[in-house]
Amino acid sequence: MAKIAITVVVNGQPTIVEANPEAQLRTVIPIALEQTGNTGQPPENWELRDAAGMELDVAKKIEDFQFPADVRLFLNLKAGVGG
Amino acid sequence: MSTQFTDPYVSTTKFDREVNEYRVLSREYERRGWFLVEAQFPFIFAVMAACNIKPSPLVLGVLLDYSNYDTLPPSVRLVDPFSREPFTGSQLPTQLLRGLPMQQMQLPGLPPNAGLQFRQAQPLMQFHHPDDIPFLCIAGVKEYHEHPGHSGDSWELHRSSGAGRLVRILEVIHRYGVAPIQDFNVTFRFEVGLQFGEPPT
Repeated sequence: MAKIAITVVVNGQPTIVEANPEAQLRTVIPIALEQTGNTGQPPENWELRDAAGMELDVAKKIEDFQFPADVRLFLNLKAGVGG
Repeated sequence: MSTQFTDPYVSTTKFDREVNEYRVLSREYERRGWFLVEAQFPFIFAVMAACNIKPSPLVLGVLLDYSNYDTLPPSVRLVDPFSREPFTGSQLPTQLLRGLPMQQMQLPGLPPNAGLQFRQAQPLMQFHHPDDIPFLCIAGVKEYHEHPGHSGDSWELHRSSGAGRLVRILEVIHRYGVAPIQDFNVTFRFEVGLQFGEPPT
């Protein structure tokens, strides 16, 4: 199946990830981090949200989200442990 | 403002990158209620509105100081969106509460799994006295890394992860401080007193 392009905004920096629609959404995270040079924290320390701010289930297949062609997802570092 | 000891070219270049990347997506952020009001090195001033309720209140301002970035992380203060004065602990419109995982307490005499379930919330804004100026207690914030309680979690451990980047910090403040606002909390207070007539002569 043809790959699809997903724009992922990593801490405010956009990058385009070529993704396999049959793969889990989590597969775009390490690619987006590598393309933007964010190598300091492992992928599990990041969270992926849509434009409305809703956290996405990264275990779901990409094709299940039925993203529009101009989709833009937001990948941000989790807040971590405060206090 | 801190004394600039990092090569100013490095700090201003990285500062400009933060601002420029923000501006590329500024319409997206405006839909969330974020507005970048002013950006002049080393300061960035942004305000956040709770746009999911009407009329949408301007909840807070965020003042970031990117002096010495990224030798040091940015300083972050929640401020009054109009006067830009930092909120004290007692003035904070939100403490940025983060829900902790559900905890279960087994009570004696009750069958297993029939105990109490409770969930606590942790404030990400920390202060010791209500008159203190609170700090955002997450890695990537200067005040966090300067706190003696966090001497084991140095900025160097987080520097390459983008923990101090503008959008990331605004995202945390919005997620825990503004996005959870669901409605206005209106309190009516009735007072009952004694009403006297003409004073007797």
